[in-house]
Amino acid sequence: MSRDIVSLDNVYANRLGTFVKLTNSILPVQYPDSFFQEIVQNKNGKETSFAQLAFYSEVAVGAVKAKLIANKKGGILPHGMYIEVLAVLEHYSGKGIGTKLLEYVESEAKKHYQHALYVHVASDNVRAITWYKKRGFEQDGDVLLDYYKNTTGSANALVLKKTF
Amino acid sequence: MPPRKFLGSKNLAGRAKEHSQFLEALKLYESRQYKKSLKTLDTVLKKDSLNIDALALKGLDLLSLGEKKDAENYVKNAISKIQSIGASAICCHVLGIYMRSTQNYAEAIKWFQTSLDNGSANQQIYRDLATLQSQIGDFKGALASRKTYWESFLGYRSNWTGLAVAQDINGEHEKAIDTLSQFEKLVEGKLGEPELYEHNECLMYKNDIMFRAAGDNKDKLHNVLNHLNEVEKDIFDKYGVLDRKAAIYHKLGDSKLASKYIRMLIQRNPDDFQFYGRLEEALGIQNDNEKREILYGNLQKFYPRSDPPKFIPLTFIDDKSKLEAKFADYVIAQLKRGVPATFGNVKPLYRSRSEFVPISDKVVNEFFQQVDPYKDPVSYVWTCYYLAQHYLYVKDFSKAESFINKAIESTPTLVEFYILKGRILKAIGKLDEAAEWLEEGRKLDLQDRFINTKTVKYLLRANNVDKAVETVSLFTKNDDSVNGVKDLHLVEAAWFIVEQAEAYHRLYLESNKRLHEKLSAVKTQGLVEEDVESQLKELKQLEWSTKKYQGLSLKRFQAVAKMYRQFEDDQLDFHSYCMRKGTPRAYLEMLDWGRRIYGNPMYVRSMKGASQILFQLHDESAESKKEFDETFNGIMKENAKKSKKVNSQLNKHRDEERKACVAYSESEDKDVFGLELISSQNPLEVFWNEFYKSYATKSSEEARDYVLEFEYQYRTGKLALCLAALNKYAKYHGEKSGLTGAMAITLLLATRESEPFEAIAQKVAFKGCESIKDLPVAERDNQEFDWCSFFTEHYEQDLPSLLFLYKHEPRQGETYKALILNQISTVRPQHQMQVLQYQL
Repeated sequence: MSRDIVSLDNVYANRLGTFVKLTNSILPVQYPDSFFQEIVQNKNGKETSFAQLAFYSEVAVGAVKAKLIANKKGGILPHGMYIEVLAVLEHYSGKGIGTKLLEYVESEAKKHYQHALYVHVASDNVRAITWYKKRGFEQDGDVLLDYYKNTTGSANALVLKKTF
Repeated sequence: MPPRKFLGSKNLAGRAKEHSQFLEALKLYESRQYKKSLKTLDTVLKKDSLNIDALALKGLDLLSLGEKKDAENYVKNAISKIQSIGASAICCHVLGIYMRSTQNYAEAIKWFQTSLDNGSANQQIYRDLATLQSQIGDFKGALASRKTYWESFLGYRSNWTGLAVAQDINGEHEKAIDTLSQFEKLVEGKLGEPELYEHNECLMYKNDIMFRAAGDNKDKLHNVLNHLNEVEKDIFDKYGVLDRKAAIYHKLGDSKLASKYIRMLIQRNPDDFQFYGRLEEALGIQNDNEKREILYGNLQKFYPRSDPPKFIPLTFIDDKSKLEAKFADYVIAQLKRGVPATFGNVKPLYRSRSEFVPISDKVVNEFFQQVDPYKDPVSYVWTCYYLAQHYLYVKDFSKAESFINKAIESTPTLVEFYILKGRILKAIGKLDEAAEWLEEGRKLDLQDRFINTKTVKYLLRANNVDKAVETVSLFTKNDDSVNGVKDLHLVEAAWFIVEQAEAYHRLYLESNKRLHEKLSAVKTQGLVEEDVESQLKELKQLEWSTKKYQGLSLKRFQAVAKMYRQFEDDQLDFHSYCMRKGTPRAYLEMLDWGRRIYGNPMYVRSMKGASQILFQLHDESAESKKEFDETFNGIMKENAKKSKKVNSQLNKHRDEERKACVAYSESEDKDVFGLELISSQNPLEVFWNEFYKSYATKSSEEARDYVLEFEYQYRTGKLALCLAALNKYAKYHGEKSGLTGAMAITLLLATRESEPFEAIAQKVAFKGCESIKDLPVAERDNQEFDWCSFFTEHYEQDLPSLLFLYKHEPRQGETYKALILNQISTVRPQHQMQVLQYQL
């Protein structure tokens, strides 16, 4: 078969449940319902939120959600694309699925003239930190204490940043 | 009976004007201007209120306008006058059309026939007559009609085809072949492009008849073959030709050529199991396993991607180690690829050869040990899925659950796993939890209709009707209704309606039980002073739910039966359509299908469901009903004021409830809850008319349910027919079968003098009982005789027979109950619960 075994697709309203299921079963953080609704509710017509499902052999195994961040009022967050969720089922890791999802976010960022990606990672999540660093991310600033609220993992987080 | 002879209008001259007015009205009817037609008729009837023609036509006009009741009155009026005055040919024709439109086909035939007898020159009537005769199964009559019509209109192929089909059905094969051949000669060389298809169908149909008529006669078979070779170039159905050739050579005993053609068929479709069996037969090796193995070995090489060559050897190889190796090849290859249906593929083997169960256990578990979920997650999860199904099959529920949990944990996005999880929970009897898991799976993809449907089914099994309706309505058209129930009736979604009927029935049984418990508690202890209102409310609510659920259940069962009557009726158009389109082969298949529809599992299921309700309504003695009413009404009367208040509270919701249950448009059906249906004075008659008649008269003898027949006739008091049912049952299921014994005992005890059956019927039944082997008829009147022990000693006791006796022999009810409890200890918890909750 010439077709790639890993593919990405949009998150349609009917399949939002799959996205929720993946996020909730992979990540230790519990998100509110409104967080997921953002994906299917296109606010004021402007594209600021991006999400995809990743399929391995046509089974949904990974998910990504990112949003553009503006810095008009000089807030803490700088310009760029912020990755809110990037998750792949444990058994399907190491198959290039996460990389593909990251590539998607990067290309969307470029399309919108953004040249930086940001992500929060729990400070004890060594695997994820290594994974991001391997793909050109670097730590940005100090550890944020008590960043995560509804989590079973560490509450502290660091910001990783990639510029291109 | 309509008169045979046209008596004519006595003073035709005086009525000439009216007659021409009538003809005008007829024209208006034909051009569908029913209202204008009615107006014209009214002027006729004003002058001559006895004008039968006008009365009849007025009936037909009204019917076309949807005024069924009025239409019926006019037609009845017309018919009653015909008895004395006689009728014109036109009038009879009009009446025939009316009868046909009201689905009264036998009557329609009578009137059409009379119209012809009374001198109608309208030859078209013969065509309509043939259609109606075919519809009611009067093929002899249909042949005569087709023939007459054919004689008048020789220029149409459809008439020739129709005649040939009628001849064929009546067993006149030679004549049918002749008819088809004559027409072929007539059209030789004159066929245009558009006629080629029907021509090819008729050629093949002729070959069909020849083949059927040939039997095993070799000369005749050679003829069939020659004919086939002759027409082959004109036939479109290449598959049919190969199939026929293979069959002919097989019958001729030419295994070489037979197998050649079957191999060609296999090449066309290597996934069709039937060809492989036929190939074995043609080669004469169906009993030689060694040769079969070689055959399938070769076929596997030819068709490496096809299932049958790999699967079939598993059904006959005896050598245990070889079998295990073959099985492993078969299963592991699929598991490696992650084929979801792997277990489904081997399940037939579990059933036919139980030695596969341990083999499968071993082989797949070994494979599972070495699958790395990180390296090959797809294979891993589908193997978990397989093992979960395997353990569900062998009733090791905890293992089944642990494997499905593994699969869900690994890949929580595959909906199949949620369905299986639900199935396992269902088997353990956790119906609510099962439905919740289905719901969880459903959320993964809201536009997946399959999981939607499954979820609805599980919700109904858990008696959660409201949620089920809400869920199913996501996929239905809800334009003029608050939910999808009406649409599901319109699209004949029998799966939903029957499940809903069964859910309602269970809800009925539950609320009925609670109602009686509550009522007897109140009766003995009285109402608690400070809480009278809420108790009255509970009682009323229970009483209403009981009625409502029972009515709705029956109503839904009836809806399924209605669908099947519609299916039968839908054939009507095809008696002429298939002839015009030149598809006699498809037509004959349809007739065959039509003969068997009432034996369809869905119909039988609905009929049996309805029988439970209607038989119970019949069995409920008037006394116990009266007693219930007196107690209930008594309590309400004592607290009349509060009762009234409660009533108005409850009535507020009635309208909403009604809207949620509407199944048909209100103009057609006012009995939304089925309350009229359950308050029928004669439940057995309802059962006969709505359900049993079609089944009893139209399903084949072997397929019929003789226990149901017994139960029905027992209640009608026709013990002789019970005896017949018993004998038939014994014939098909064995004399030692549990139900044979249960029915025999029940029948014998029904012949005791104390039983309320007719003396003659009892005598006949007793005589029949005397000839039943081992049945101790002499003990009939012995009040102390232990029938239960007799039963267990002489018959194979099983659940259905014990339940049968439990219901019919209350004297030893407790003993039977104990046996039933013992019996269900080995079945799935799900079935145990069903018996405990709803049967005992």
